[in-house]
Amino acid sequence: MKRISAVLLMLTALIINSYAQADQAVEAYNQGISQFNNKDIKSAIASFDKAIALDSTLIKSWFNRGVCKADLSDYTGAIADYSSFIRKDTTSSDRAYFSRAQALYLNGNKDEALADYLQSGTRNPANAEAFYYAGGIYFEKGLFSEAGETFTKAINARSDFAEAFHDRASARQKSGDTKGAISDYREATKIRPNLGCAYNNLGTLLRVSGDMQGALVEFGYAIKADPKGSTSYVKRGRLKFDMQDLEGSLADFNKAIELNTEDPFAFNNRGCLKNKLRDFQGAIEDFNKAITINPNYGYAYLNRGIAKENLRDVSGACKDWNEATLNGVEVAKSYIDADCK
Amino acid sequence: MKKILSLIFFLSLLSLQAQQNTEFEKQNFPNDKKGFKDAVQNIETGDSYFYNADYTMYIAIDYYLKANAFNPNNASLNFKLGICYLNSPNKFKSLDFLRKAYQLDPAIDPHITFHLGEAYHLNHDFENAIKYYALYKGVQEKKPGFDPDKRITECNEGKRLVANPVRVNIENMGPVVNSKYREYAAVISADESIMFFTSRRDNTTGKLIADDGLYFEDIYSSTKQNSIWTPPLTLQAPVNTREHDATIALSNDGQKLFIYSDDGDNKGDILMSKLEGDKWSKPESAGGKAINTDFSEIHACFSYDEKSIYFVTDKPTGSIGGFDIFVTRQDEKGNWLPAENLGPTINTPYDEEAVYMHPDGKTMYFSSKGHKTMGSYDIFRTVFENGKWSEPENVGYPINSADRDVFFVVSASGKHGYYSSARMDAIGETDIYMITLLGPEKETVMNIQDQLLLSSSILERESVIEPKLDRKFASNVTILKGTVTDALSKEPLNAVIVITDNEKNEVVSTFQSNSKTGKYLVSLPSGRNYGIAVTMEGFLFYSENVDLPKSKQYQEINKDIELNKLEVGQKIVLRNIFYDFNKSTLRTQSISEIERLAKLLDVNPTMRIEISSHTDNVGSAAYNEKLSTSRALSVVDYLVEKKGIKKERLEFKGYGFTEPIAPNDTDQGRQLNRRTEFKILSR
Repeated sequence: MKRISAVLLMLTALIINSYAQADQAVEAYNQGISQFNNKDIKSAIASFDKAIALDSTLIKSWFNRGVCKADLSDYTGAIADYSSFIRKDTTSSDRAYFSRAQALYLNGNKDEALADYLQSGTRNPANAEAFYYAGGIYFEKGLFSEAGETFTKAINARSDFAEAFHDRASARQKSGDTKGAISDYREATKIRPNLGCAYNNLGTLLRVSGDMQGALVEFGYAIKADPKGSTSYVKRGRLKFDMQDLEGSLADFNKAIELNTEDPFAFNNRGCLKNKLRDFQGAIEDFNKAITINPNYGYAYLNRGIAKENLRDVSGACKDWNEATLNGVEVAKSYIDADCK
Repeated sequence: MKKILSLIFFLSLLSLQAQQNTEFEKQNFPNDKKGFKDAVQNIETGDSYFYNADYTMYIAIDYYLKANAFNPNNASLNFKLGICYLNSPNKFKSLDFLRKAYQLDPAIDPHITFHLGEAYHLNHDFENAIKYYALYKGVQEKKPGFDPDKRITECNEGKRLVANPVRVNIENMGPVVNSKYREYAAVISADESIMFFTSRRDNTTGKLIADDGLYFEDIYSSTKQNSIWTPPLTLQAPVNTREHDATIALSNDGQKLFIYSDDGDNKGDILMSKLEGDKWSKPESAGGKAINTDFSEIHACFSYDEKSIYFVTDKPTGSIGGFDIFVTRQDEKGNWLPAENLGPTINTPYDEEAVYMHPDGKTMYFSSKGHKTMGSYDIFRTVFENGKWSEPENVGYPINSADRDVFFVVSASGKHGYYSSARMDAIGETDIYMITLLGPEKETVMNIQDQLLLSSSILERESVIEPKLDRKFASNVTILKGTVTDALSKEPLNAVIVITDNEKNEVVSTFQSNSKTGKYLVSLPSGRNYGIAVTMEGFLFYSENVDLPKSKQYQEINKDIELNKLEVGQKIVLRNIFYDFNKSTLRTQSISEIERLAKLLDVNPTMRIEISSHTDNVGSAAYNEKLSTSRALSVVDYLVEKKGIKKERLEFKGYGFTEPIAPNDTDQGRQLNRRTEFKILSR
C-alpha cells in the first residue's frame, strides 16, 4: 500500500511538475512575443529557445523563432525552424509555407521558394501574395508564360492587386504580348495612380514600339508620380534624344543629375548626347563620372573610347575598349580588332 | 563735336594711308637710309631666285620677308611673296600676302585674282576662292593653264568633301623618321614592317646641293621593331648616288624597290633594285621597253602577284591626255608585254599620277587632276571587279586637300595609309604621316534601367543592340609570311615559293625568300583556294594549302617553313591533293601538286617513293584502310598514266587511321589526319 501511495505521489508530483513546466513554457513563449514586438529579437529567440526546451509540443515556438531568425537575416536558421514547424504540424497553414518560401528566396534557393509559394497558394487560393511572389520567381527564371499565368491567379485572388497587374504586364511584354502588357500597365496605374515605374515601363514599351509621343506622355506621368526620382528624367531624356530634341534631352539629363548625383546612367547618357553635339571633352567628363560611380560600367568605357577616338586619341580609345571588353561589352572587341592592332 | 569730327577724319586718313601702296623709293624713307638700302638689296637677291625658275622661288622668301618687314605696304613685294609661297611647300601662307597686294593695288598683276583665288582655295576658303576665280573669268587674256571654271568646280567639290570628312587619324611619324628637311614618297611592305622614303636631308650621298637649293634626293629605310620605327638609314650605293634618287614603290614583300631616275633632262625612267641577301642590286630599267620610253615615266608599282606593272607616263601613244596610267603584263616566259592604257574610267584628259595597287589585288589608289578633285591632285580609289574598274572615288577630306595630294599607300590590312604633307605640325617642310583609317563614326550606347518586377528589387538594364561595324577600307587579303630554313642546319634558304590557284590549276605568282634571312611574304587575296609550294634544289618541296573564302577579312599568318634534304626516309605531306568525299577519285584541284611531284621524280630519275594515304577515325578501320589504299593508288595511277613515271619506282599504301598526326577529337585534327604523303624509299 505504501508502495502504491509512493508511486501515486510521484506521478502526482510529475504531473504537477509537468503542468508547471508547460506554464513556464507558455510564459517564455509569450515573453518571446513581447520581446519581438519590442524589437528585442535576440532576447525573443532566447525566450523561444526556452519555451521549446520546456515544452516541445508548443510548436508555434518554432514558427516564431523562425520569424525572429529571418528578421536577423539568419535565413538558414529560419528555414530550419519553419521546416520543423511544418513537420510537426502536418496541417500547417499556407502562412508557414509562405514564410519559409520568403526565407528560401532570400537565402538564394529560388526553386524551393517557388515550390513553397505554390504550396501556400494551393492551401489557400485566396493568398494572392503567394501567387504574386511565385510569379516573380517564374519571371526571374525566364519562364514568362508561367509567370503570367501565376500573376493571373494573384489577380483572381485580389482584383485590385496593382502590383500583380504591373508584373503581369512585364511578363506579357517579355512574352511578346505588347498589347496585353500595355493594357496591364494601364490597369495598374488606374488602381494605383502614383505607381511611377508602371508609367516608366509603359513609356519604354511605347518608345520601343515606335509610339514616341505616347511614350513622352507616359514619362511625363512618371515624373508627376515621382518628381524626386531621377529615373524618369533619364528615360525621357533618352526618348527626346531619339526624337532629335537634343536640347530637351540635355535638360532632362541635367535634371536627373541634379536629383541624383550618383546615377551612372544619367551621366553615361548625357555623355552620349554631348558626343553627338561634338562636345567630346564634355562627353569624356561625363563618362568619367559614370565610371567613378560604377567602375564596372562597360558601356561607359565603350562610349568614352568612342569620344576619345573622335578626339583622335586612338590609344586612349583602345585602352577604354579593352576595359569595356573586360566588362562584357562584346562590340568593343570588334573595335579593338578593327582599330587597335 | 568739332574735336570728335577732326579725330574721325584723322583716323580715316591713317587708315587710308595704311592701305596705300608704298614704293621702295628713297624719298619714302628719309629717316632710315640704311634700312632702305638693305631692303632694296634683299629684294634684288630675292628677285634673282624669283625670276630664275618656279622651283627656286621659295628661296626668295627669306629675302623678301626681310624687305617686307621694312616696308609691309608694297604691292609688288607682297604679290611676289604670295607667288613664292604658292611655289613652296607652305602654299597656304600665300594668302596674307596676295590679299595685301590686292588691297594695295588690284592691278599689280593681271592674274592676281586667279592667284588670290588659288590662295583662298588652298586655305579651303572655297566661297572667297570662287569669288576671285569668278572675277578672273572677266580677264581677257588669261594665262595658259589658268582655268577658272575648273577651279570653281574644284571648290564646289571641296565644299562637299569638307562638309563630309572621312574619319581618319593623321599622325606625324615623328622626329625619328622626319627631319627638318623634306621627306616624302613613303612606301611600305604589305605588313608595314619596312618603309622606304625619299628625303632631302643633309647627309645625302655626296652632300651636294641641287639647282633648287636643296640637297639631292636620297632613299632612306626604316624598319618597325616592337611597333616603333627605327632611325632611318640611307641606302648604300649602287642605289643612292650623288644625283637624285627617289622612291616610287616597294613590292609587297619588301624585296624589290622601284626608283625614279632622270638624267637631268626631265625625261624620267623607272628603275628597279632587288634585295639580294642584305644588299640592294644596281637599279636597272624596270620592264624594259614595255615601260621606259623617250618620254617621261614617273611612277610605277607591281600588282600583288608581280605579274603586272602599273606605271605613269606621258607618252602620246595610246594616251587620253597628260600623264596616264598604263599597265604591262608578264607573259609565261617572263617577258613584259606592250603596255595598255587603263582606259577612260581611270585616265582623264588631265594628269594622273602616283599609282598604287593594294595587296588585295583589286584596289587601286592613284592621284588625278581630272576626276572630281578638290584641287590640284587628289587621291582616288577604284576597284577592279567583274572585268572592269569601278568609277574612281575621291578618298575624301582630310586625306585630300586643295593642294597636291600624291604618293598614298595603304597597308595590306587596310587600316593605315602613308603619305607626305606640309601640314601645320610638320617638323620639316614636308613630313611623312601615317593615316589611321577609322571607318564610319561609332555609335555611343545609351542605357536605361527598367524595374520590371515590383515583387523583387531586381533591376533590368534595357538590352541594347550593339552597333554594326562598316569599314570602307576593309581589306580582304591574307598575308602569309615567315622564314624558310634548312630543317637540319637551320640556315636560311633562298627558296622559290610558287602560289597556285588550285581551282584554275594555274600558277598565280612566284616569289623567292631572302637568301640572307630566309624571310618571305606573299599576299593572298580572298576568294581562292591556294596551293603553296616551297621548293629548293636538293630539298624536298614543302606543300601548304590556304583556302580563303571571298568574305575572308584581313589576316596575317606567320608560317616558318623548314625544308628537308632529299634523303632516304624523308617524307612530306602533300597538302594540295584532294579527293571526292568518301571516294578515291582525284579532284582537279590536285593536279598542280601531282605535277610538282612528277617534276621531282623527273629531276631525280633513280628515286623511288612511297605514296601513302591516311584518314581520320570516322568509320571502321577496314573501311578506312580500303579507302586510303585506293586513294594512294589513284595518285600512283595518275603519275604512271598521265606523267609517264615508271610503275616500279612507285609504291603505295593505305594506312587508314593508324598513323594520325593530330588528335581525332576536333574537326581541325581530323582534317590534318586526312592526308596524302610521300616518302623517299631510295635515291
